[in-house]
Amino acid sequence: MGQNSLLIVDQLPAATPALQDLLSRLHKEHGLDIYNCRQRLIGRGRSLLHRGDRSTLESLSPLLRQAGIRHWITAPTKPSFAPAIIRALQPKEDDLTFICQKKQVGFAKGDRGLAILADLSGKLVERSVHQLLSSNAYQGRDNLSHLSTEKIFKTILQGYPVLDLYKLDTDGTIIDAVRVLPSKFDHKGLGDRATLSSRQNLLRVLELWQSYTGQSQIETGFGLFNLPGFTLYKPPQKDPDVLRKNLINLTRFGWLMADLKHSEQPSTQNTEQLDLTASISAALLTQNPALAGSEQLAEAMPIIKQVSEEITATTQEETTQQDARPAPQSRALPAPPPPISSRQWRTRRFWISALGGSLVLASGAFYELKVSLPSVISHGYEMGIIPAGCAALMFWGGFHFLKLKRLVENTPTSKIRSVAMGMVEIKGQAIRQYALVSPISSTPCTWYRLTRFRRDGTRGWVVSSVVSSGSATFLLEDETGRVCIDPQGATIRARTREEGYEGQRSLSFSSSLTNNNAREKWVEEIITEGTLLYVLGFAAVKKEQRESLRNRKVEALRKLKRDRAALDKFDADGDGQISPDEWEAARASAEQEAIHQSLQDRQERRRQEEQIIIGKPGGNRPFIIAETLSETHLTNRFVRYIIPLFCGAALCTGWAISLLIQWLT
Amino acid sequence: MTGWIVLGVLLLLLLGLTLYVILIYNGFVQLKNNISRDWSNIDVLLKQRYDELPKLIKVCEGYMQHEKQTLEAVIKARNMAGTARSDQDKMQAQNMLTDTLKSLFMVVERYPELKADAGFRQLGNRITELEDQIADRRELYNAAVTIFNTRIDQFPDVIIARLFNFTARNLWEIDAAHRQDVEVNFQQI
Repeated sequence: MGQNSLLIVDQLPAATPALQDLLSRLHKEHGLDIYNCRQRLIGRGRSLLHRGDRSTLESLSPLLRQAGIRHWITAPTKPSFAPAIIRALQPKEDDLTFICQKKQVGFAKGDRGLAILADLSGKLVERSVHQLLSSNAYQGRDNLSHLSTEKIFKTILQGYPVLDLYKLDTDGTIIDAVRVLPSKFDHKGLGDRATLSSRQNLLRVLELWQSYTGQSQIETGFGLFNLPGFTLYKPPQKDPDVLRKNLINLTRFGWLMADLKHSEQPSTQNTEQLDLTASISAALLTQNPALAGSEQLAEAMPIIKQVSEEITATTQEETTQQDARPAPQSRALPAPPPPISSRQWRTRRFWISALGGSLVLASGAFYELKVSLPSVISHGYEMGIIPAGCAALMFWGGFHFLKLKRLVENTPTSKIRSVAMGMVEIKGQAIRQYALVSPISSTPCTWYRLTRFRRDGTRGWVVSSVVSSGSATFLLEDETGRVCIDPQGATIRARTREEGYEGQRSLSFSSSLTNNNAREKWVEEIITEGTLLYVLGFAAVKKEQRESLRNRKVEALRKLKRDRAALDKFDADGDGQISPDEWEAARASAEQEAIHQSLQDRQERRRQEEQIIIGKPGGNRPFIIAETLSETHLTNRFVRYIIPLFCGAALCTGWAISLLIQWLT
Repeated sequence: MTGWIVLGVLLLLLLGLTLYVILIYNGFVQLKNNISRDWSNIDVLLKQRYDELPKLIKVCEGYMQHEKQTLEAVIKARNMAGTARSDQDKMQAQNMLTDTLKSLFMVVERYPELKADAGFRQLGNRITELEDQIADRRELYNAAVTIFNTRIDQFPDVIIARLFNFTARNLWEIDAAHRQDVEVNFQQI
């Protein structure tokens, strides 16, 4: 029983320094996974942080309180009844009665209530995800913008809206509930409030209900909150089974929200209620500004009038300030450089061509020596040369990976702040420098590689093209600083990998991943933002791309020519004309200014990510970028190559020796 | 026939073993050079700090007429760092310089005018930044030394290490005094 308690948190809109501290404490003191917790603590709405017995969850409570995160610990009540669908409503002076098929539910003035307004079409969820993806793609992860309350209400009304109204007793326990579905009730009960739109009528019911219930709360997070077991399924063509499941989940969601309200601290309750009432009022007014003028409504809901005044004041203020204030500083990421065909592919093609060319040359040579190629191959096999060659290649491969493994193990990890020039090993989180989005899944990422394959008769899938994000650099951040990484020429191991077949342009509509008739397929590998990366590469000072002194001088002279007042300062004789001598003086002054500017630029201390870049080292030294859990995890991968290569090499050598002995005897 | 096969296998094993020995030996050489490089990288920062110190002392002198002792300690430690030759001496001298700088920054707290001086702030930030970087690189140096010292004690690397006389290197450790608990007397504050 105790195991079923849930710790639900109000998510933070963005990461804060307090959150970093909280995450490390949750990990160190309670063994919670940092990445899961981070995912659950950032967002819009509420999320399930942890599940377990009440005492365990209560031990987490002080940490969350310290970080200023609102949270609830509750054991969800099993719904004992579902809300009854209303057929009509009767507003009276003291109470509002909803008439359902088998019963009547009345809300008296001052009753406590809870309203759940949800969209069962999935549009709201889609729009919310779209909003997050686009803001992440173009503004970066630190500037995520979520749907506003107004947009949420608008989207719900555009989809398949359902309104559940719960009647609560003084303890916050549900005593009765009704469900309002658009066009399923007689709107005459709304009187003057009734409109021709069934969806707007739903909103009017909510307004009316709110005018009766004094302490009401409106929740619109069904499908948006990260609460496992209370999810919204996207109904394909209004499938009745999915709709039924969604209605059941909506009921469970309503009961859970009532539980949260029940377990809420009284100090935060009033603020929340005011905030939500203000939000709904703002939403209603945004949708229908004429409501602000309604005396009757203003009397019933004083907050409406207050919000209306605030909206008007803000709008006027914004209009007057619009021209005066400077344009907001754009924090959007720059567009990425164009993608390039991978060098790896070019190299492979080069080697294949080189091998083919060598074979042709060898064939020519053998022809000249009156020896045929098949006989050479046959002799090579009989003498054991071919197996010996295979063994040598495998040995070379095995030693290559062994050397790489030892290099990774022998290189200590540097802190980014103090990274020295030369071969370095660093670890940190990947951060985008460009608004890079992967070509198929449209995921904001720091790097991607798209490999296309085509089916080639009996040979199976053959690589037809490889496109990667190429020269789009990204940043790596640890607790001490950031550094720029140029992934060109790196051996990259990305863990996020998607596969699809021709015609499948997006993962949202993926069907089956085993398409036997497809002629083409693609594999997309990406490194998403925030991923922990291991980088072994060469740190160097970035090549400066400063303006040359000559250009600076030309620009200064151009500026001088355009500025008549500045030019007049050099008119020594005051005749209104610039003589050659005066122009010479102006040129000298411009030159001085350019030199001064150039020196000033050099003296300016720049941030590390602007100074140092980690890229491919020269020679045969490796450049590895790996999405890995630990260094050991990476070296274990090498071991998985080393053992079979050495075993294969030993077998091939044995085979070669036995063939050689046979040939000799 | 069997003799040939045995001979061939033995030759193969010998070849594999030789290559493995070469790999281990080269690994030691790389680790040794890593340590030297990490030490030199610390030296680069120490030199920068050494060069910045006279400017800082000059700024401080103007304000701290009554703290000659502290300033002299910094100058003395700087001179020691400049004249130290062996690695061990250098480590000790640098530790001493770090300590005297800490004392200097603590004393500065009593001089609000000095703290507000733009030149002092800039130099102070620069030296603090260098101190942080020195600490990071010292950690890196110690990590490289630890990898080397572990390798030369591990089997089968220990055989190659003994054969080619690779010996353990010293870690850059802090003074024993720094390990003691800090006593704070609130009555004196």
